[in-house]
Amino acid sequence: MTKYAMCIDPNKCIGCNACRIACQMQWSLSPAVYFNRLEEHVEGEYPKLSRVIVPVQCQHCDQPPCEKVCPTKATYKREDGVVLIDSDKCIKCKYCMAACPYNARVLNEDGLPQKCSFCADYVAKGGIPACVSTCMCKVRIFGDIDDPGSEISEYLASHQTVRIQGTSMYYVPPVKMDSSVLPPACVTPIHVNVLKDVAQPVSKGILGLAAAAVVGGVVLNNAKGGDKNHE
Amino acid sequence: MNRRQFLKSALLGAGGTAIAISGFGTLTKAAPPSSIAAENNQETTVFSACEMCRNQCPIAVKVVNGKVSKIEGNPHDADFGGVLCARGNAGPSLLYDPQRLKKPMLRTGERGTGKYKEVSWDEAYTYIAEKLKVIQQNDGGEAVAFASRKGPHDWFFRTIAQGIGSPNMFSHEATCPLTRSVALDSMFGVEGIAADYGNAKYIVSIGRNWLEGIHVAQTRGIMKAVGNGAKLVVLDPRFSVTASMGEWVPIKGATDLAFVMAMANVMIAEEKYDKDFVERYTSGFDQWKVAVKDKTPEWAEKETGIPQETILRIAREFAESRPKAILDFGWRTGLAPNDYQLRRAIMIVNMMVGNFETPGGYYRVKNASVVNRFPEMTGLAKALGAVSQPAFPKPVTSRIDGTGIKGIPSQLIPEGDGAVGQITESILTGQPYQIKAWMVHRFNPVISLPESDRVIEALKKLDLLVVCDLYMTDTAMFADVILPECTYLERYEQVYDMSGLMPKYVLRQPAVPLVYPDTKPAWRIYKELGEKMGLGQYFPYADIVDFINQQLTPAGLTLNQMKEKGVWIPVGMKPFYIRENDPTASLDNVVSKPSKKIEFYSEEVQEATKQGIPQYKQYPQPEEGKFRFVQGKVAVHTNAGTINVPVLNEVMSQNPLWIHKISADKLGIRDGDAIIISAGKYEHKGTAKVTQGIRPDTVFCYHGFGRISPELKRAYGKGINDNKLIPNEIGEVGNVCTSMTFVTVKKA
Repeated sequence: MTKYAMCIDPNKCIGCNACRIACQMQWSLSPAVYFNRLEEHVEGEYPKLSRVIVPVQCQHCDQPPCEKVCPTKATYKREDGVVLIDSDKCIKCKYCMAACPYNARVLNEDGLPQKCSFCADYVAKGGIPACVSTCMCKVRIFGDIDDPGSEISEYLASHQTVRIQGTSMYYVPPVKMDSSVLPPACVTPIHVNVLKDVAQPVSKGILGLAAAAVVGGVVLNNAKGGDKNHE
Repeated sequence: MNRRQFLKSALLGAGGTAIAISGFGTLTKAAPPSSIAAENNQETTVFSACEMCRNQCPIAVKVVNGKVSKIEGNPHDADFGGVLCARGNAGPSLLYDPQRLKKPMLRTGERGTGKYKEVSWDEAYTYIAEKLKVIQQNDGGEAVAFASRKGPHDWFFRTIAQGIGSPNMFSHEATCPLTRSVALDSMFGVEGIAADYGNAKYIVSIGRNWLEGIHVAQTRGIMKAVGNGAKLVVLDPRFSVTASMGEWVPIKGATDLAFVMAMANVMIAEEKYDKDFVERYTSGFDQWKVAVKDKTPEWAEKETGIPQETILRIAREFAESRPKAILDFGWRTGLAPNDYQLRRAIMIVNMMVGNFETPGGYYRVKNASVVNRFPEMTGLAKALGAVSQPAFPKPVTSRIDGTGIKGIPSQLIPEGDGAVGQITESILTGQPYQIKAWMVHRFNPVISLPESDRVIEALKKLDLLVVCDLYMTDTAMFADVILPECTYLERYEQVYDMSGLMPKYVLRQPAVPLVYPDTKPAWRIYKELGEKMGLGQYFPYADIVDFINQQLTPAGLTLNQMKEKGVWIPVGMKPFYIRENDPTASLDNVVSKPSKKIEFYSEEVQEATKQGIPQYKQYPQPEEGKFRFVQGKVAVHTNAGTINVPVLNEVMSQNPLWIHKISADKLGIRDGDAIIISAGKYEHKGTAKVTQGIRPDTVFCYHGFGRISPELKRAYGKGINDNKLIPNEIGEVGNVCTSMTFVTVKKA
């Protein structure tokens, strides 16, 4: 079996944004649509300060909340761990965006939610994800953790890392700050079950209306509280 | 609110029901990630060189169906390791930007009002040629100034200058590393000295910011060293990204020389320096000992605000790490009027630890002519050929900045660079003589030179202003004639020498045909203009391929060979440091002073400035209520160059003013507040970034923002133009003075 994962070392990240742009170019995204972001954290009192920059993207969760709420199965998880979106099936209800604990999805100009795909198609052709290959500081390692000889398996075996619980992502703990600056474990937000209940029994025709009502009302507090975007 | 937050709140009902999508018009239509280019769309790779900044990193351009789909680092160049910075990645976004200049234009309205008509290239050339002819006849060729961002286009651009007998050719270097060049030239007899960061064990930065002022190979070198456990010490009034990778020492502005002299004082007092190196390879150490005799850590503490124990410790740690210790010589230098003496002092302290021509230290750039001085290397690399031109008319006057005139400080200004800030002064004051016309190539004086309003006043006074660029820049909007250049992805360039530890040649070649068919490359523009002006004989090449062949043939290379990998490194040669295995090896082949010594004391500098050995000069500190105004680079932008590039502008279009929390509290300013920054004569609006990451007596903004050209539609009116606030004070060797401005800040 193949199980893809990524390991990110925020201690090496200088916040240059090459990962973000390389990804945008790889997938011909328009300038405002991007799949990975950098969260800057500065702590301390002058002149004893620390800065850590944490790259965050789709965590390719084991049981993706975005998949759970998707009424048309447009979002799906492959056996190799990659979470993808079939845009032909997507009805643009945006449940997945509300459900994502990592704020990892963004709408393209056609109103389709999009996100990091671990460069799945590109990897299938022997490439490595654009964010990985472009990085000046080798912040990211990508590969198959079921293959003990892969670069990522060897790295995980020989370095102290933390797995973001319930996801395909590993991080090297920040040296200068505690690990609370890393993305949280994948916990299905409470509102996801509500969305799921609404989503599953109804037909596509009335979903748009239902989505607006439910998302607008139920989700507000939870998602606001969970937003850790420091850009 | 950024886009994601907006989307989320829109989605949640807090921002309305409509989802606004701003459609920036890249020609590459967004495709969902699951539909990668169809199988029949064959991808090809073109090896070339980047030009998103001036560093010209080797790149691998991916082309699908005649379009650039992506750019990666060139894997054939080990120094760059096949990686790329954000700007390099953003190349396609520039290439297909509909806001680029597309046609030559002639001004039809008042300067600065943006009224232009599109014309043919021939009309544009004819207009320029006729205007220049009149100026040349009435005022002489010297009345025409030429300024460019330094680069391979200069050969073509400056041929026009030389053809009409103008000595007034300027690069942008006075706004950037000029004082470092002066220091190296005066000590080593050559500017081509580089640092081997990757192998260093102890690195001290004096305002150098490798992790935001990106040079891919050097950024990688620093991160390699840090990853290997090297200690990084960063002296900077601001907590830069580089500072966060090491020990941050928030030094008081304009006092760096005190710190460097105190380091030397400690190393001499404690005999922690490489006596053999100093004796064998250098001259003037006795004068230096005298100069730093009383520059104790105790004294330096008062100047720099750095505790003397810290100075003492850093000096000791640095000296004990020798020779794998680097006190960095800086990049964007020109902090204070005497900055060249700071750079000289820095290099003296480096030589005191004997870190020259050893791994983890400094080395002479080994181009073909240098390596051929070593018998065992002879023949491995040959120098590029020069395209020979007939003799140019000899200029009848000296340059407006006094470059090269003996006995005054400008004697030290590198001839190929000049003091570009002098152009503004000569236009406005007529001293030493009147400049009537200004030819500008890929340079933006309104943003890049100090005192923007004064620059604009000067531009308005000209008889002729010609700007060749990619965008309608803040300078182009005042031009009489605008010439649209094509981008680096659409043109050949003359092959350039990017030698480091080994000789290296890099090719730029077109990846795709012209996106806007009426744009042209510099080599063609100036050849055609030259022909129109009757200067055709100075352009002895049929086209750029012919030019390149004239370069490559003497080097024993062909264009096809260069195209293969985009980069050429001699086969069978390894990087070498002359003193790696023999610390007493001769440096005669790499020290270019006639004395064959590294000159701590310089007769030439003595003649020019009466300061043959660096002396400390105390500059004022901000009084209560005022702040020292400093600036710097950010990783996603290149100075005045990339702010309007769609994807880069989207990452960062604003530059708030960094102000310390204590200072902001006193002024009632909160994070994000609208503010007014005043430098006395000039004011600028901005927003505040309240932070712990800056000295309380200093404020900071990134450079390159606050654009005034409405045609830069994404950048227009956003952020702070630092140079609007900085006076056009010309430093001792022609440099800008970036850290000498005091400002007040208030809530808007």
